[in-house]
Parts: sequence; C-alpha cells; structure tokens
Amino acid sequence: MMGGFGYHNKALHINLSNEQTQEVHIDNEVLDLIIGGTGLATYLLYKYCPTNAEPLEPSNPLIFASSPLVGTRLTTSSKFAIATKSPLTGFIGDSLSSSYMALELKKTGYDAIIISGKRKVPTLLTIENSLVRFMDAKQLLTKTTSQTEQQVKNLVGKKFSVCSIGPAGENLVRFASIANDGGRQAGRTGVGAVMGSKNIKAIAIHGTNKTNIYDESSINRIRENLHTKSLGPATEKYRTLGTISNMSVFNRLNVLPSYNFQQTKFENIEPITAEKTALTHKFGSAHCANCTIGCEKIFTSSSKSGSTIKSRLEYETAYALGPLIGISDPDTLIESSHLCDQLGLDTISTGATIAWAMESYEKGVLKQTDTDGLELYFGNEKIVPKLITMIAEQKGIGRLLSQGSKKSSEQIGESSDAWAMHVKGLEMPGYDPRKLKTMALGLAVSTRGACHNRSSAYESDFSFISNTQNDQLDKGIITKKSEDYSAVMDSLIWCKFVRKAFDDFYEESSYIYSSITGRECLPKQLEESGERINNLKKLFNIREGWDISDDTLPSRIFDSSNLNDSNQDDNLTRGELNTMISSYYIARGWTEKGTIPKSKIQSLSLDYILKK
Amino acid sequence: MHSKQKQLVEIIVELFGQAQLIANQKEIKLEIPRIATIDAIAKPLAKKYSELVGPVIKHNCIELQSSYIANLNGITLLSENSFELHDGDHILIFSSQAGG
Repeated sequence: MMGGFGYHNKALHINLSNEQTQEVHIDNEVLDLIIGGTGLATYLLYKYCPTNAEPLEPSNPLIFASSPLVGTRLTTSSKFAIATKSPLTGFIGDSLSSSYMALELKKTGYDAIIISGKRKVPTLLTIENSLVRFMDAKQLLTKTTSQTEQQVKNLVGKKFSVCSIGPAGENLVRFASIANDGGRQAGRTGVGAVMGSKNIKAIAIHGTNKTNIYDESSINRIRENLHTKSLGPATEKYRTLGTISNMSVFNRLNVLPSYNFQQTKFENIEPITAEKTALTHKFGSAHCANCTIGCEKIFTSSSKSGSTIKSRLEYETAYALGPLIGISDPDTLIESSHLCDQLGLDTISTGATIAWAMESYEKGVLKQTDTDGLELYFGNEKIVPKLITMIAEQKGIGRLLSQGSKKSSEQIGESSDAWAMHVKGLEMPGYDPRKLKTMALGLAVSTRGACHNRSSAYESDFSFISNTQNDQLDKGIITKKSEDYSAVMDSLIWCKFVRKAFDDFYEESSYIYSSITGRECLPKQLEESGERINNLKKLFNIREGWDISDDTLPSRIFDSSNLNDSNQDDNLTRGELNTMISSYYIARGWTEKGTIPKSKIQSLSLDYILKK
Repeated sequence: MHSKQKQLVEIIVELFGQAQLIANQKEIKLEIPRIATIDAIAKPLAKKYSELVGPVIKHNCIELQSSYIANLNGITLLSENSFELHDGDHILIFSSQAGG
C-alpha cells in the first residue's frame, strides 16, 4: 500500500540470522512526533534493541532511517541517519551520512531499515524495493571501502548505492565507520563495528518508489529561495576553504587541542592551515547529492613513494590527525586521512586514541616492547600511517588501540585514564572546552559522548551570545535549546552547514514540513519534537545504565597549569561545569540527578509512542 | 589626574581564511581612533584593500559581511557598540561560521 505524503509509513525489519523480513507499520501520529532521521532511528532503537544488549552481539540492531526531506531536492537534504548501541560507549550510537544512498534508501519504499541478527558468512546485503537478497561476500573481505563499493557496483549494477565497511569494521575496531558514495562516512560511535559484527561487508540499496509531496509548488518555490541563500554569505566559509579553515582561527584563539589536550595551541600550525595548504596543495570541491554548498575539499598529495593521494580534509580530521598528535606535515595528514577513509575508521577517535598512546609512550607506560618497536612520540610522522593500518587490522599494538582510548586505558591501567580524552567512551572533537564553556557543557551532557554535532553548543561561544549571556546558568538553557535545534535538523534532516540560510529556522522548517506532509505543523511543535528526541535518547541511555557520573569531562580539562597560553584567567573549573550541568538539568525539567521524571515523559508523549 | 590620552592608536588587523587569501596579507597595521566602532576598521581596510569589499566588507565600506566577525586580542568578540583600543592591540577578522 502506498504511504501518505513525505513518508512511506513503514519500516523493513531484516533478521539476518533466519533471512526473514517483516514490514513494520509506522503511523503518522508517531512520525509527526519524532520526524524522521535521528528521531526515527532513536525510536526504533529503543524498541528493537533489547535492554543491556551487548553492542557487538547479534541482538543489537543496526538501523538506517530516512527523513521527510529526502526526495524533495531541497539543498543539503539528501541525508540519512544510522543508530545502534555503540560498542565504544555502551549508550546510543548515532551517526549521519549523505548523498545518493539517502535517495535510494527512501526510494525503497521504507522510512527505515532495521537490521538484526547475524550472518554466518561474510555477506553482501542487497535491498531493491522490498526484495532482500543475501549474497556471499568472501571475495570482498580485506577490501578497502572504495574497492568494495566499486566491486559491489560491478556485481549488482550502478543503479545501486553502496555502503560498506573497510577492514576496520571487519575486525570489529570499536570506532569503525560505515562509508558510502565515494567516501562519505557515518563516522562516529563505531557503527561500522556493529555492521562487521553482523558479518555484513556491504549493503547495496536501490528503489523505484516515489514519495508524494503534498504541496509541490510551495516546495519548488522554497527550493529556489534556499538555493539562492545557500550561495550567499551564510555558507561562505564552507564553499571557499571548507571547515579546515578553523585550524588557524582556533589556534589563534587558543582553543585548538594539541598534544592530547596538553596544549591549546600548536606551535607548528602554519603548514597545515587552510590558508597555506590551499597554496601548497591542489584542492577541489565536491558535493553531496542535491547540495549547492560543496563543503568537501579534496586535497592532492604526492606521497613519499611517489604515488598521488587524494583525500578530503575536514577540520576535525585535520585536528585529530594533526595537532592532537603533534603532526604538522600536510602530506602525512592527507595520507592519514585517506587511510582512515579507506580502512573505515573514524578520524577523530583514531587520532585521539593515537594521542593517548603517544602520551602513554612518552610517560613510559607503553614501552617499545609494547609497541612493536614503534617510537610513539608526538610528532613522529613516520609511524602514523603504519599505526593506523595496524589499528584497522588489529595487529600488534593496534589490537589494544582498536578498543578506543577509554577501554585501552582501562586495560593498561597505571593511571593512564588520566589522559584518555573521551566522554562516555567517545573521543573528544577539536573544540577545547577550557575556554569554550558552552561547548564544555554540550560535550559533557551529550548522549552520544564527546560530540560537537549533537548540540553545536560552540555556536554561542563563537557568537555574541556568550558575551551578553555569560552567566553559567544561562548556558544550561542555551545548550538545551541548541541540542533540541540540532535534533530537529538531524531528524528532518538538514545539513548543519545550511543553518544560517534560514531567517527563522522553526518557522520555515515547520512550513516546509507541512508542505511536504499536508499536515499542520507549528514551529512550537517542531521545537518540542527536538526536545522529545533528546529525551528519548536519554531514556535509552538511562535504560542502558547511564548515571550522573557519566556527564562529565576528563579531569585534564580542569588543569591549566602546563598550558602555553598566557591567558588562563577564565579557564573552566570543575565547579563551573557542575553548576552548568545542574542548570542544564533544570532547563530540561529533569531531576537533580539528571533522570527524567515521569511527568516529563508523559508531557512529551514518550510513554504513548513507546507503547505503539 | 591622568595625562591626556592619545586619540589615535596603532593596531594590527589579522586576517584569516578567505580574507587572508583575497588580500594576500596576514597582518595589516592601521592607525585608528582609540574609541572606535567596527566602521573605523572596515573603512581603512576597504580603502587599502579594495578587493575585500564584497567578499569580506559590505559595499557601504563600514560593516563586515554577516559571515565575518571581529575579535579583540583573541578574547573579546566585538559587537556594534564602541570599544576602546590600545597601541599594539590585535583585531582578528575571521568567518563567523563555526563547525566542522
């Protein structure tokens, strides 16, 4: 049966163990409350993941969710969400990716695909509309993500979009990513390890179902308007030098974590700034499907062996594989980024885990006998590509590091958890929270661990808000609002880089939602959906064992004694963070212990939708 | 009683990202009023580096484009209000679009 407008009103549940598939109805009432994308994926995760499931066991579902905006050709809307229980954190793992895979997923005629169980042999899963096939994938084992994508397309046809894992996912590296469409990555929280644990090497998806739009003419008008705005000042940075232009600015502002957060400024930054690499290395831009911005900057490097390497360089990758591990050579950086993408590794967690290992080595906790002879000191560019490969292949020291910094430090002991820079097990992104205090709160309370994207709380630290509302109590409200705003963006799904193209995000997005679905949606309802989705994520975490001690930052953040930054007067203290966390719980209407009262669950209709 | 303060101060403007590449300058020395607003920085910059007008400075030559912000000494974000400067102060001009 054809769905309504904007949705197909159904998900496909694939049980890998018995090859059974089942269609699951999702009614509009639920979809209006949780929207799609991350919201829908979280809802399905809560329902399909058994309590206390082991992340790498068959019962943990891997969920791909589409959204109402996909198929409208609105700029930046070709995105999809993945959710699972994270093998890195033991809490919700959610990640987004983009481009043609999003379009094909929606065209299957399902709003989401739920994959549970496990294959006995390496498998290529193909989904063509409602037809699901399980194909032998032994020949794809050990192939890189781009090799896998190419070979799968050769096998099943170019009309399919392919997402795959690299050797890292096959080997259950806990921060393995899932790649699609020529190197885009669902990078964070180890979704690739969960795919690997199910013995799925690749998923090829193609569909022919159209999604109906209620008011096509309104959407056409909005598309043209957004297209124009997306080429204006609102996206200038992303279109020109890309996110890597943060490098020089963050360094100047003393918020660029370097040497495993031992410093907030990197003295050898110059060669790896956007301004410099734009002159020394050829680069071009690339776009996701239906995107007018083209934020991806693909740099070309000639390796020492003489071959040419092309790789995307995003700020987070450049930070984690650059200053965080003391690397200032742009060619090493490009090669490392390329390796992570090809082997299927999250670049942030890879860099941060290597940074932990380097500090452990310099402190004598890891010795050369532990590191297969590798000299793991900061800035040793010779060993980084080799170490990345060893992690992906779980060889030598790579076996330890493949667990991420938290579990590695727990295994090694000797107080090395003091320099394992993560929150809830997820390694920290490149926003030093000592000065970026709203970001500090966002990182501490984020449901998926140290994440810059689920709150975008840095926004207020870089804007005038932080000057005019500098009170710690306000930061709880700011962070709550920015998390809810991000949840709506991640559920409709808009790319965050188009956010400044809106004059009034909720007003415009609710109008768009109504135009797609034909159902009234007020700005307030959309905002409340954001709140609902964040509460649902938190409910999942509480169910899986979260307690208040998980909402914190690594202790190093409260120690500024060795920083080379002369301006340390206003650096974050533990007391400030605790005050901000309390203010956040108050803003959320939670208890002082950070749990969700029944009344809140009811007022957000969460009890109702979880019964459906 | 304080001695009479200088009415003009010498500051350094630091350009980042596309602004730096367009002007082909990382740092620019300017002499501007001690009590200033953004237009006191935008005007001489526009005069000295006309290629910044449009991409970085608005065509009225007194405001930065909305995609850019100014920061004093890497600490204080400058708003539309007036601010006090001292010799040797640094004004950083960079994209307001955070994220990545």
